[in-house]
Amino acid sequence: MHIIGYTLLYLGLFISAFSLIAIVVGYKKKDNRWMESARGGILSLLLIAGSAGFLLFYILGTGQFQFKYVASYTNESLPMVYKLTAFWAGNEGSLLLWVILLCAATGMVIFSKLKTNPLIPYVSGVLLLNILFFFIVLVFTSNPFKVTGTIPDDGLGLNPMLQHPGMILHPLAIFLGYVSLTVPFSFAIASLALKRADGEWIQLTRKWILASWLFLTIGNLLGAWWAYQELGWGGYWAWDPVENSSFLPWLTVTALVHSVMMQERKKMLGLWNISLLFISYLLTFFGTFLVRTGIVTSVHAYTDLGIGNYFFTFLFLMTVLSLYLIITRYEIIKKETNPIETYFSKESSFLLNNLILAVAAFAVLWGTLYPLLSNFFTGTRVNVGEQYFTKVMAPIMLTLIVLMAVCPLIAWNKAHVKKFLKNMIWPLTAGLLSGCVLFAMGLRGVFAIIGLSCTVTMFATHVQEFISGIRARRKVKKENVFLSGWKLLMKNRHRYCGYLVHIGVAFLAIGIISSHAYSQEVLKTVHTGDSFSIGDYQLTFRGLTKFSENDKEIVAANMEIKYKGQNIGMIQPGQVSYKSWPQPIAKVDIKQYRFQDIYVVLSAWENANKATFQANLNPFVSWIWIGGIIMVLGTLFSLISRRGMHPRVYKVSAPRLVNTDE
Amino acid sequence: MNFVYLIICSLIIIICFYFIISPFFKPKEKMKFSEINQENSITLDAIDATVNEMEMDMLMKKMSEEDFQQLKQQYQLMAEKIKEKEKKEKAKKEQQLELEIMKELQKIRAKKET
Repeated sequence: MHIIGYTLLYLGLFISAFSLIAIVVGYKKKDNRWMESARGGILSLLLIAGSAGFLLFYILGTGQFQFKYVASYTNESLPMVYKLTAFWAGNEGSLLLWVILLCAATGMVIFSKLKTNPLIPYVSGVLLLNILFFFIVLVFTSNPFKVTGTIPDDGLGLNPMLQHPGMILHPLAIFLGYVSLTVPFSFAIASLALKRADGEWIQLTRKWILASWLFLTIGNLLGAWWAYQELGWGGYWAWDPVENSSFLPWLTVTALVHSVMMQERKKMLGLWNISLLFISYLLTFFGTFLVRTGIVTSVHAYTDLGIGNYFFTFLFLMTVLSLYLIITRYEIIKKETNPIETYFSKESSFLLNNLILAVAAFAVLWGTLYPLLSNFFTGTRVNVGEQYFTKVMAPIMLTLIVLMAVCPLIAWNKAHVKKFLKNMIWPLTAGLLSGCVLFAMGLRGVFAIIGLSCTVTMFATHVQEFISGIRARRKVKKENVFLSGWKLLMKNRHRYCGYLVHIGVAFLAIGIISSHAYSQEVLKTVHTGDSFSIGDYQLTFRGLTKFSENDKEIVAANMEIKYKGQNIGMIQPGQVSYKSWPQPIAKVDIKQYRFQDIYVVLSAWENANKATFQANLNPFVSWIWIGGIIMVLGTLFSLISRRGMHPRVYKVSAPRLVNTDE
Repeated sequence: MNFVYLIICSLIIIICFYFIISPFFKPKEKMKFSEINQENSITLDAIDATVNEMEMDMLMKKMSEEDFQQLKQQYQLMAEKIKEKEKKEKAKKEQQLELEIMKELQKIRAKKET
C-alpha cells in the first residue's frame, strides 16, 4: 500500500512543479492552453492530496503497523476517533494536512468566477509555490507513508495528553487559519507584481482574511480549553512557544481585519496593510519553523525530522520576495494611499489600535525568541518565563480594552470632542460604578479592578451603540424596538457583527482578569474523611477507587464538595496509567458553580486512605469560553453576509446616501 | 494485492495526465483577462457603506449634521465621477461592438457577392 502513498507524494511534487512552470510559460506566451494545463494540474493536486489524506486515514483507522507513522502514533486499543486524529499528531501527518488544505484553498480560488482576473496567474503561481514547498518537505523529510523493517505487533500509541476532544478540532482550526492567510498573501503579491497598489486584493480576499481570523480564534481558544482540561496546572495559557506561534499571527491578523477597512473605504494605510499581511503570513511559517525544529524548548515538542533547513530556506525566500516587492513598489503604494485627515477620528483610532496590536505581537515575539537570542549573544539560554508575558501584555491588553471602549464612539472623518464626551458619559459611569461595587464587595487589587472597570466600560459602550443604533433607525423608519434591533443587525452587519465580537472580547477579558487576579490554590495531603477549604468551598476526601478500562488503570479520588455548608456534588480527580505510556497522566476534574471553577488534581497518594490534592478555585474561567463562542458567532454572522470574492467593482449603482437600510 | 495497488496508482497517474495534457489538444487560444479600472479603486459599494456609516454616526450624535452634509456632498461628487467614467467606458465598448458587427456584416456581404 505504501506504493500508492509514495506515488501520490512524488506525483504531487512533479505536478505542482509542472503547473508552476506551465503558468510561467503560459503567461509569457499568452497561450491559454498552458494556463488550462496548469488548472488541470491544480485539479490533479486536489485529487492527489485528497487521495493521500484518505490513504493516511485508512492506514491509521485499520492499524497498518507496517507504516512507521501508524506504529508511532496509534495502537490497537486506541479509540477510533483518536486513531483518525493521529493524522495530525506528528510532523508528517500535520504537514500533509497543511498541503491538503492548501490544495483545497487553491482549488477554491482558481475555479471561482475570478478565472479571468489578471491577478490570477500570479496568485496561482504563489499558491503553487507553497504547495510545491510542502510536497518537497513531505517527499524528502516527512513522508508519512514510510514503512518499518519489521512489522510490530502493536503501535506505541498516542500520547495520552493528545487523547482529548481538543485534538479533533484545535490543529485543524489552526491549519485552516494559516492556509486562509496564504490566499490574501498570494493576491497581495500578485497585485504588487502587476504594479498595482489599489485595494482590489482586499476586496477579493476580505472573506479569507476574516476566515483566517475566525479559524485562528477558534484554534487558540480550543488550545487554551484543551490545556486547561488536560495539563493539570490550573491554567489555560502558559505562553509556551507553540501557543505563541499561533497567537502571533492572530494578533497581526486582528490588526489587519481592522485596518483593511481603511483602505477599502478611504484608500488609507495601503503600505501598512500590505506589510501587516506579509508579516502575518511569514509568522505562520516562522512559528512552525521555531516549534518543529527544536530550536526553542516547548512542552508540545515535535520530533525533529530535519525540516528546519527547508522551512528556513522557504521563509527566507518569501521574506526576500515580500521585501523586494514592497521596496520596488513603494512609490506606487504611496501614490495610491491617502493620508489620515484628522487626528481625532475613527481612522486615527484604528491606526492606534493597529499600532498597539503590533506592539503586542512584537512583545510576544521578543519573549519567545529571547532564549534563542540570549544563547546566541551570551552563550546562556535564558527563559523569560510567564512573568515577563504577564507584566508586558497586561498593560498592552488593557490599553486595547480602553481603545475598544472609546473607538466605537468616535465618528468617521470628523469627530467632535464635545459630542464624544457626551456619548462617553453612560459607559464611563457604568465602568466607575462597577469599580465601586467590586471594591464594596471586598475585591482588592488595583490593576484587576481597573481592568474589570475598563472592560465594563467597553461592554457598556457597545450596549449603548446598539441602543443608539436602534433609536436612530426608529427615528427614520418608525419601527418597533425588536424589528428595529433585528434590522439594525441584519442591514449593518459589518459594524454590528464587529460589535458582537467586541462584546465577546469583554466576556473573555473578564474571565482572564478574574481568573488571573482572584484564583486561589491549595496543596493538601488528607486522610479519608478529612476536609480542606478553598474559598467558600469545603472539599472532603472519601477515599480512592481503582478500576481498569481498556488499556488504562485508573485511580480516582472521590471528593465531596460543599459550598457554605451546602452539598453541591461530587468530584473525581484521578491519575490514569496507560499500558503504552511510561508516566501516569493526571485526570483533572472540574466542578463549575456560580461562575467559579473548582479545579482539582490528584497529585499523589500513599495508600487508599491518604492522598495529596492540588485544588484551584478559578473564577469566571467559563466566561472565557462564552466570550469565545460570542466572538466566533459574531464573525460567522459577518462572514455569511459578505459578498467577498465577487465585489461589485465595476457595477454602476446610485449611491443610496440617506437610507440606512443598505 | 500489489497488483491492485499498481492498478490504483496507474489510474491516478492516468487521470492526472489527462487533466494536464487535454488542454493541449484544444485549438490555440489567447489568454483573456477582464479589464482593470485602476483609478476606481474605491468602489461605489465602499462609498455607499462609508456614507451610511457617517449617517449612522450623525443620527447617533457622534457627528454634526453640517459636517455630515458636507462630507456627503464630497462623496456624492466622487460617486458621480465614477459613474460618469463608467458610462463613458460602457459607451466606448458598445461603439466598438457595433463596429465589429459592421465589419462582420461587410465580410458576409462580400462573401455573398463573390
